[in-house]
Order: sequence, then C-alpha cells, then structure tokens
Amino acid sequence: MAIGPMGGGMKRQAVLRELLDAFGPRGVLWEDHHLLLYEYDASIDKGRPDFVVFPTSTEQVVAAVRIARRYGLPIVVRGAGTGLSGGGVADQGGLMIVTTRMRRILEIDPVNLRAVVQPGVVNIAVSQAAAAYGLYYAPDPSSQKACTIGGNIAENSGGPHCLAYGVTTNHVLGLEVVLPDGEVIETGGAPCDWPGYDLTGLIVGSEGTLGIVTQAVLRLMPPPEAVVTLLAVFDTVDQASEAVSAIIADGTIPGAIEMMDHTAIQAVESAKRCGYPTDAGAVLLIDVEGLPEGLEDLVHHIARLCEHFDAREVRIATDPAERERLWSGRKGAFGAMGRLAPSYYIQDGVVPRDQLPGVLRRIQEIGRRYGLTIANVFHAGDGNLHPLILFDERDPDLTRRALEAGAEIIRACIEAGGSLTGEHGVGLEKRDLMPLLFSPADLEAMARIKAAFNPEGRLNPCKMFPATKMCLETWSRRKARMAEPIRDRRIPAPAEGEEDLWI
Amino acid sequence: MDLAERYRLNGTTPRIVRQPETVEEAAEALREAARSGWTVVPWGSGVHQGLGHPPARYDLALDLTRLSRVVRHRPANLTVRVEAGVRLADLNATLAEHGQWLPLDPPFGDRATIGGILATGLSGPLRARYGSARDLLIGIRVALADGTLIQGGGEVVKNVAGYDLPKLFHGALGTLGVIVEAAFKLWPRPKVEATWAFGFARPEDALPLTLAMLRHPGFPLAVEVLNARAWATLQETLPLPDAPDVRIWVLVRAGGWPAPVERLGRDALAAADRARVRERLAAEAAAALWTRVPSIGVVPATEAEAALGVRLGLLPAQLAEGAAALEEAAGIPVTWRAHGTVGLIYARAEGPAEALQRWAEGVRSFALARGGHFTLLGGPEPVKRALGLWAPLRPEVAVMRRLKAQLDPEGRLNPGRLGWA
Repeated sequence: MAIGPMGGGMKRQAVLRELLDAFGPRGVLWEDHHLLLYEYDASIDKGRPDFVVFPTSTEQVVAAVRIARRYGLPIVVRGAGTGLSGGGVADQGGLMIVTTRMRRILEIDPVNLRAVVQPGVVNIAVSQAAAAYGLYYAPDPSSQKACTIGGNIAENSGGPHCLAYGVTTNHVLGLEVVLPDGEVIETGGAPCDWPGYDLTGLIVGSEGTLGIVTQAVLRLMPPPEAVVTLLAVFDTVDQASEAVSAIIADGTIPGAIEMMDHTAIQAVESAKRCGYPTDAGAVLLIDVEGLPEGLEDLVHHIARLCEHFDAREVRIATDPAERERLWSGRKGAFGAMGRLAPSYYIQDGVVPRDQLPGVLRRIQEIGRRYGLTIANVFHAGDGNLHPLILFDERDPDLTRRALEAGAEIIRACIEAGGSLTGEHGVGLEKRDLMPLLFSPADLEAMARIKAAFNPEGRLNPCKMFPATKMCLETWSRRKARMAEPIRDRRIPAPAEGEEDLWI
Repeated sequence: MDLAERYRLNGTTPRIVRQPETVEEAAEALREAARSGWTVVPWGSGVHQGLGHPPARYDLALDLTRLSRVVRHRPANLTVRVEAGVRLADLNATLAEHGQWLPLDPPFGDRATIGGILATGLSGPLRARYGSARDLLIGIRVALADGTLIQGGGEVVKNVAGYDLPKLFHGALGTLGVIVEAAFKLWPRPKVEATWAFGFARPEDALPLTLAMLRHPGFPLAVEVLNARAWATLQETLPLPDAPDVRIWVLVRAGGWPAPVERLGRDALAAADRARVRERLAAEAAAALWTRVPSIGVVPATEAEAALGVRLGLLPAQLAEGAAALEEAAGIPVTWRAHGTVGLIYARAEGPAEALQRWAEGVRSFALARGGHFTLLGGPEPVKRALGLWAPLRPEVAVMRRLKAQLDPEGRLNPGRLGWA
C-alpha cells in the first residue's frame, strides 16, 4: 500500500506499513496534526503518541499488540479521554490503542442481571440499554455521558452513588484481556466467584498496566423505586461534615451524600440559579432511595439528624423536576468554576469519614497559606474529597503554588489515615506521591505483580509508580518535539535517535 | 498432647509450630522459615484446612489465632481493622454494641477467623445483600514468604491508589502470602428482620421466587435454597415447617426498616404462587436457623474421609437444572444448598470413593456444559487427585503461576495446595 512520502525512520515506515495492513487507512493516524488530538486527557499532563489505531475487535487489538511487540513500541490504551490523572496519555510515545470503535453491547441478560460489553461502550449507554428491561448499571462517574466502560475498569471509577452500591470493581464479574505478548485470556465470567486467583479484581483499577480489556461482564441492578433528594443548608463546613459523620454513624446509608462549600455555592449560583442560598457555608445534597414504603420516615429521620447539627434549613424534593434542579448545581459545579478563575486543579484525596471536619479545616488553612482559593465539591458520604484549587495557568508562579498546595492536601489526607486517590487514579499525576502511602516493600510487591502480566513494561509504561530516570529522559526528549509548531502536514522526520527510545 | 498433633494434615504433622502473638512475630517466623528453607502452612481455626490438596511438604505450622486484636474500630467511619486471628463471631459481638456488623456468614463462621475467611474466599447467604468478603475488604496487611510485611488498600471506603492487593489475597488459600491484618467496611445492623420459608414440589417451581428476589429493589438479605435432605438436617434441632411432597425449600431473609421488610415479604409471597408451604418463621427460630444454614452442604476438614464437598458456580436461572444434575446419581445421598440470587451451589455427598468420584464427574460435566465452574472443596485426597481441584482450567492459569512465582519464588507457602501452582 502506498503511504505517501515520508521522512527518515525505516523502522517507523515499517511499523506504519504493518498498521495500515492490519487496520486500513481509516483505522490508523500517524500525521502530527492528527496525533495532536490524542496527546491529552482531562488531566494536566500531555504526551504525543507516534501512532493511533482504532480496533473494532479483539483480533485487531491482538494484531496491534503484536506489531508493537515486534518493534518495541510502548502501548497506551485510551477510551474517551476523560481521565483525570493522565492514565491515557502517551508520555513515552509509542502506539495508542483507542477503544471507541469497540462500542457494541454484546448481550443484556435481564434474567440473571448481566451485561456483556466491549470496552468502548459509554458508561450511560449500558444503563440506557438495560432500561428496556427495568435495570441499570450502578457506577455513575460524573463523566458518565462520555467515559467508557474500559476506562472505568482501568481506573476502578466511582461516582456519587457508589456510597450505597459500591465502585466499578463491585460490578465487574469477568473480563477478556489481551496480554502484552498478544495472548488472550478470560478472567472470571458471568457466574460468580470463579476459582483461582482473582485476576479480575486485580486488573480492575490497574490503570492499563496489566492487560488490555477487550470485553467485560457487568452486573446490572434494579433501580430504586423511589428517590427523595434533601438539600440541607449549613452556616459552616464544620456543621455539615459533622452531620455527614452522624448520618453514617447512625447506620442509615443514603444513596449519595454530596457536599459543596461556600466558594462552590457562589460559583454555581452565579452560573445558574439552582436555589442554593448564596450566604450558606455549606450544603449537603442527600439522595434517600429504595422502596417507597417507609421512605418518608427515613427522609424525616435524616432531616432531623441534619437539624441536630444546626442545619438552618432542610428542603425536601420528591418530584423529578425539583430533584433535577437541586442536582444540577452539583453536576454543573466544575464547569461553573470558570466564573471564579481561568483554571482549576482538581484533587482527589480520601479520608476516613470521621476525619472530614479536621481535614476540611486544614484544606482551607493550606489555601490561605498559599494565597489560593479552594472550592470543595465532593462525595462526602465516602470521605472522597475533591478540592478545586483555583489558579491561572498562564501565571507560572500561581501554577506552581497550585500544584504544591495540591500535594500538601494529599499529605494532609494521608496523615488523617486516608489515601491519595479515591477514584481518579494515580497515572502520571500522582505517581511520585505513591511513596507517601506505600513503603518500598509495598511498591516492590506491586512491581512483581506487574511483572507477572507485563514483564517488559510495554503496557502503559511509567504510570502509577514513581518515575524512573529512563521515564524522565524519554519524556524530556519527546517534550521538546511536541513544543515545535506543526508546519508540514505530511509526516515529519522523527527526531534524532527517537526510535532508540522505543522499548 | 504433642503440640504438633493439633496441626495434623492428611496424616502428616509439622516439624515446627509457631504461635506468634504480634504481626512482627509472625513476620519473624516467616523470616526464620526463609533462612531455614521451611515450607509454611498458615493456620486459623483449621476448619477449612481440607480445602485444596494437603501440603506437599509440611515443615512449619504458623498458627495465627493469637493475633486476636481489634486494631481500630471507627464507628463514625463504619470501618474496622483487625488482626487475622480474630474470630468473626467475637468481632461481631463487639460491633453489635455500636449497632454495626461485618455481614459475613461463611461456613463454620462460629469458629472461623478473619484470616481464614479471607484466605478461603467462601461466602454465606448474606452475600445476596452485602456481597462477599471480597466486596467488604478495603485494606490488607500481608507477610510475604520471606517475612516482608506489605500492605494494600487502607481504612477508607474508596481508594484506587496502587494495585488492589486485597482482591489478590482474598481466596488465594494462603499461597501468595500470609494475611496478618485486614480492614473492612461495615454495615449498620438492620433495624428489624423477618424470614419466610417456602416449600416447593419441584426446583423449577422455586425459580419465579428466586429470580423475583434477584431483581427486587428492596434487596433481600438472603435467598437460600435447600434440598429436602438439607432441610431435614436443620429439622433435627429446629422447629421448622414440613410437608410430605416438598423437595425444595427457599428461605427469604429481609432486613432494614419495618415497612420495606413487610413489602419484601408481600412480594415474596406473591412470587411463590406455586409453593406448597408459605410460612413466616418466628424470630427466635429464624435467628437460630441462620446460624446453622451457612454450614449445610459443606464438608469440614475433619469429615473429609467419608464425604465429598463441591461448589458449582452457575447463573441464578440455572439453579433448577443444577438441582437435577446434583440429585441424578442414584444411591448417593446428596445434601445441597444454594445462594438463590447468586448462583453458587454447595453440595455434599456421602458414599464409597468410587461412587463419589462418578457423582462429582457428572456434576462437573454439567457445570462446564452450562458455562459454569466446578470446585472440589473437601473430600478424600485420592478423589481430589483423580478429578483435579477445579474446572475449567483456562489459559489464565499461566498468569496465576507467574504471580505465584513472583510473590513466593521458592514455593514455600502452602506448597501443592492449589495443585497447579
């Protein structure tokens, strides 16, 4: 096949020829102005792949993996690119496998409550397909209208309603996985508790470093018959977080408990009137759900708990339109931050729920010390914080302070007995913070686990674990090239020695 | 009695016994074992030591039952961190003071330790509502074969930092490391509970009820299916309903606030229109019943010479077929029990070894033909050798072998226990 004039790089040409043979001209991208579109996700980090392919089947994924193996290219798998920690960024270059054309729902089993899907299926599409049978897929990350099941599995994604129903790993029963040598294995399956080591449980949340998921068996659930949303208004964040602890300790687990602080409320209300009192110190948004029988008593019970912690007002919304209005502020909160600052850096620490009041106070103190405004919009019921550090990325000093404040917030979470990420993943963003939480022995054990699947480190290299010297060197050489303007629409000559960087 | 006698397995006693009282002492025992080249068998209550093959070599029995501290209970976080030797029953007695529980009810849960429950990965009826220990385990501390202590997860209910080590060690039968501590998310105890018993003439008559419960948004705590022989075992000590032509019993357990519990009961009664018996059990009888049910159909290590215990993993809608396959073999008394909404069946057969083997082969073929899985849980060692511990063995086993080689390169932890490892 003719592939047009190209600069040097015999190896590069050979790779391209093989990829085109396997995927056809519409299944491969290799020109810089196309690759540019695949050099980022929803996080801060960027990295340009050398090639992007769009498989439609497991066989094509295997073909791509074999080519990458033959030529020593790193492999990065990307779904919708909504990831928040850089897990889908090709910072070491190489071959990017984009799963968005593997978007078939292969089976809905409404009797046994199972769905079998390809990895590029969008999260909400599973619930939409299941709705015909009166079922849904419970994990609901905020990006659920865009993010893919494959990405959810890689990151073990959460969402507001994971408080009651668990995160992605509690809803994945089996996987089909392509290993970096091109072998295809099945782990788990539609029946529960498959014997042997729990490879499914290990692969979920492994951020694409153990295998490439090409199919998944998911658990579906019946939706609640009734949902009531409470909006509890507090004068201070302290009172609101005490109320969250009290609700959890009381033994009533609502469907979701979300918190927004004063700064977040200001932003939301200036973007869109949702009816949050703008002078409030904090609001809690609580979904109480289940069977309609007795739900009203439960709602009043929770309302009383909030009032016990000095909620100055508790609004109760039962009709869908009013519930939607209350939730619209929460759902639009990140977007509304644009009203307050040009950029925000979102953190993802998690703390034991009895530590919420103290940690939230510390976050405000950190903000004051760095001279930064920090808004809080988060999954309070899970103890999963999302401080939004407001800054302007055109200002290098402000940017540096934002990143430093973010790291300090994570340290505060860990000191409170928490963790450095609740649902966004480690990726590139937090790989160097891992030693705050894990000892060298812990990290060594994880490296050995990785070696059992991915011995050459070809899959998603340099992610999740502290960066090695080689990771940083490759990155700095590639970064220089990314900064160059793209003038020639044809394929440019690769930078000197670039092919040597492929592992 | 010689101490080593207490740790006898398949006729072999260990050369050395260690009973560490702290996590650090447990790690030191493993370092000593590494220096001396000893193989190690971790011990909890020992009730499930019959799982898998007996160790190929048996030097050190590492008894963890003295690691019995509750490290940290955070009531307002609904989490607890415990040492591996804590007994589930003792833990739940403590948690009850706060209106909380770790809702696990594995076989022999009255004796089982937390470490043993995690290592075996066996679940009980409550998993219908709460999932298995896999779903409740949020953190783990493990001593590796060389005595290195590692940890994964933590004491937060949402956490994606690093690989999910809790999942890896759950159900690994102590072949990858020795679990020394575990952290769990807890649940509030239900405010009220109720249990209904339904008797059916045929297994297929019970399916409308079990499948209705599977998709019920009121989430029953348990939906347990028992055959007549299993029921008869319970009747020996408990006042339970009876009817001559009933072959299948379904127990539905509901818990929570009063009104939803009553609603679930009404819906269960409506879905059980083919039932010959429909009865709400008295509270005390139900409470006693639920302590007995989880061990029915399971063969403890002490009885492994005369009985064979298997577990089938099917889809919930395949339970009636599974029931037929289990009871097909003439002349072999089979006791079985299933998690009706989950699709797992525990069955126990008694008889001469050849008959047991034929029965198990038939059951295994059935499970494989339906896309399910089969595990031999307990029984005579020659039968286990002849059949293999589980099926199907798929290419993923190569990855499992590599994991074992990475984490226990000298193969000293429970050697031979898994057969293939």
